Amino acid sequence: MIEYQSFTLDNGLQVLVHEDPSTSLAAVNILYNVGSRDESEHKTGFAHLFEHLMFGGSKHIDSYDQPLQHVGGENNAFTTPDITNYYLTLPAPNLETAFWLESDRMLSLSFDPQVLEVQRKVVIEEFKQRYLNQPYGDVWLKLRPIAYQLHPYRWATIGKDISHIENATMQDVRDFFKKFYHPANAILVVAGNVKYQQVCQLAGKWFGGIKAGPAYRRDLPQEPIQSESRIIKVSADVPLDAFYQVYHIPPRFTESYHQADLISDILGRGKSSKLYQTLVKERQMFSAISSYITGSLDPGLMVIQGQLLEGFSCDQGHRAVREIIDEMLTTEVTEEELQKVKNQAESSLVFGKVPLLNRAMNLALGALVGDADYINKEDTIIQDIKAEDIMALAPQILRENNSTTMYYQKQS
Amino acid sequence: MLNRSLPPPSYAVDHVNLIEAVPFKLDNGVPGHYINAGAQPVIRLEFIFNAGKKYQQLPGVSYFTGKMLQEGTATWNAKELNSTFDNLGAFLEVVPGFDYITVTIHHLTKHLQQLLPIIKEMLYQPLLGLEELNNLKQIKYQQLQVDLQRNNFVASRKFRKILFGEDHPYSGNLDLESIKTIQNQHIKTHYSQYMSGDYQIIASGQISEAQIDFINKTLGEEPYNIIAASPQNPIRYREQEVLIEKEDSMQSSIRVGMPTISRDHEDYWKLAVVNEILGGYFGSRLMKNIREEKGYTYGIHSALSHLNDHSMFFIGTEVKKAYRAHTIFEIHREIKKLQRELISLEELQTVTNYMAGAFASEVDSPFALADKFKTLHFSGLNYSHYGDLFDTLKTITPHEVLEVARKYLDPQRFSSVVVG
Repeated sequence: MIEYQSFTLDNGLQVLVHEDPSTSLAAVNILYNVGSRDESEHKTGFAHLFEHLMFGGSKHIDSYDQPLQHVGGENNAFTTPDITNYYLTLPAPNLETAFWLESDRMLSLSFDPQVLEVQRKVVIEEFKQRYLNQPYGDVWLKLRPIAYQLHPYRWATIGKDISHIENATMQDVRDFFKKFYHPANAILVVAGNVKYQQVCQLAGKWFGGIKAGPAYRRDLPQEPIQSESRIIKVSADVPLDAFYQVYHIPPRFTESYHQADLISDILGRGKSSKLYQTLVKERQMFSAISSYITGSLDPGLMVIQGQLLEGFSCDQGHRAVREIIDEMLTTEVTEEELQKVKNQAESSLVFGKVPLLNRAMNLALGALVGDADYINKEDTIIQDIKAEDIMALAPQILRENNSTTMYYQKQS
Repeated sequence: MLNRSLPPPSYAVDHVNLIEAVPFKLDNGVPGHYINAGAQPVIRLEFIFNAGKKYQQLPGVSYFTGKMLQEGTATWNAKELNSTFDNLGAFLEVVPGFDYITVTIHHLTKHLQQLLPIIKEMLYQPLLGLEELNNLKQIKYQQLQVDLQRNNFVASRKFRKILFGEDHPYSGNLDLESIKTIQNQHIKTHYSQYMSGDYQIIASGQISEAQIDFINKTLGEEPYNIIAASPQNPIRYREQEVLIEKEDSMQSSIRVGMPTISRDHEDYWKLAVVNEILGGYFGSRLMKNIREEKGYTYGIHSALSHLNDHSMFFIGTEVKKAYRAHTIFEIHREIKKLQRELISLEELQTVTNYMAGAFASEVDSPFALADKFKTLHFSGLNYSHYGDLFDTLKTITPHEVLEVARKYLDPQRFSSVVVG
């Protein structure tokens, strides 16, 4: 059980407090309700570029990192298609420093042109390091726009293209800040060796005076139900052929999302899964294969990915994967199989609660969708799933005309 | 009116209370330690064998011997073995390292009794079958082909070869040819020489004497064969500069560094502070210079890396190709600066405060506590080593930083590797 208390400031900032006196640390997590799905299709990669700018100094404080390091703290942030999340830990007695720093950058950034110029370069190097200068690094840059045709999940968080990063202007930065970075569009979680009353007082003191911004109404084009199977073949300078296949699944924080998760686990989680056992061990066709789901807030994807062994083609791999899926759709899920994936899920949830920061992040994400307590209900929801639920949902997801397949082939 | 320009009062971390590891011995003499901590009902069990690369006869032998533990036992084939772990939601991982092969199982505390007999069989009666080995070889051959396309992978390997010498076991890199030459007999020999009954246990999480008793009951009757320590392999270091050009690469992977002192050296923590200033944290001089001022890279770091027999200091980064020469120039410039100019008290205090806080956050879970213990244990140190850290953080002066930078960072003795 993860205990927490919550309150909301007059300006709309939601605050959650999770007391854990067993640690000497405090963790502070601020989730901003903006991700790459909220970008314009002509200015992709901006939410993430903006995340970098949040460290370039704020209205009254030249540097974000230095004062935090000076009190023994460390921090980082990440951007996903759904959210931008900033987090830090520091010795609990120095908690107020975190409030000082976080509230000042929510109040206003420095908007220093030099910071934009440098971070633009840094992000371009990040783009190369992670996506372009790595074997298979560009898979998602190419696969997303085929799997999604309308929803903004069709571009990757890093952006569609380096040129979008190159063209970002200071006016874009100011507009983005105004639209998304204000109290009502954020969730603050304070966890660790802290007290509820102390957090109430500090939140009021540092965040209370920040003006409420206009509510952000998200109105994204939703992805229509896919009705034809899609395939894309690319070739690149890689040593081996790789196979990717994705299926649309229900959104996170729904019951059917967890059912989809168990379906992907039965198919491809771990060495005893159907895909691994059959295709790596028995038929020795793949060197690795697994399946998992993206944890998106709008409908996400189930992903099957594998690398083929020398001598087998993507086409052969594709057919073999389909055979396993067809077999799964026509055979009852056994109780043993279901219990296995439930146990795996239970284990992941319990281990996920070990780090203090994870607890803080999960509370924030739950609060974003209106139920912070979800972290305490998730396991029951999973344990209550029945074989019939799986058998009913699996054919809806794993139908061929809900699939997008990518053959990532080595250049001949 | 709130004054936002002034930082709130702050306090330095002057010590951290660690939960210390408790030693135990199984009836057969196998040594172990456990750390009972944390609010979640989980355990991490580690079985650590002196069987890493350092001991192998041929490149790849240690790697494959470790991985073969997961490929079936006398009674259970690989599928049954892995199904048992998966069925209980346990995560099994074998990590073949430079010094050790570590078998790690993360599981819920309630499943210990069901898991342990299987773990026992895996450790004592692995199948080591030919067919399984051939399958693993085939898979590894392919993975290695992919890895060899990564600049940072190639750079790290080449750098270790220079630091330790071509023939040193630590440089015994698995290459595509050596995978082919591995025979089942190599695996069986490595197992029987280094892994049959000589290991130690580190357990962390919600684990108490009752669980230790159960471990003893299950494993304590097996024979414990103490294996003689392997001889130290001296390193043959000669500085080199290597450039592996890759025409179509957008970035270059860079390593720069030299051998350094071990953890038990009296200047160790002072050198750790110097390393931190240079490239050990996000606010380091290299990060400020190469990333935050010039935008050449997504990240640049320096580190002290310790193996049982040898230690190294190095700087690593991936930079835009056009700037690779200038980056190396700037690395040398930053080191000269550390050796010529006294650090300001403010910067030094930021670094020491940061290191104290980072240490506190590094001991924030039972597994992290166990990692901190392992660092001590396998370097022959005790908990006072961490007391020494806090003493150093409190007392180190700008002059000491300068002296230590002069003494242990010698650009004349640096080697560099550039790939891409």
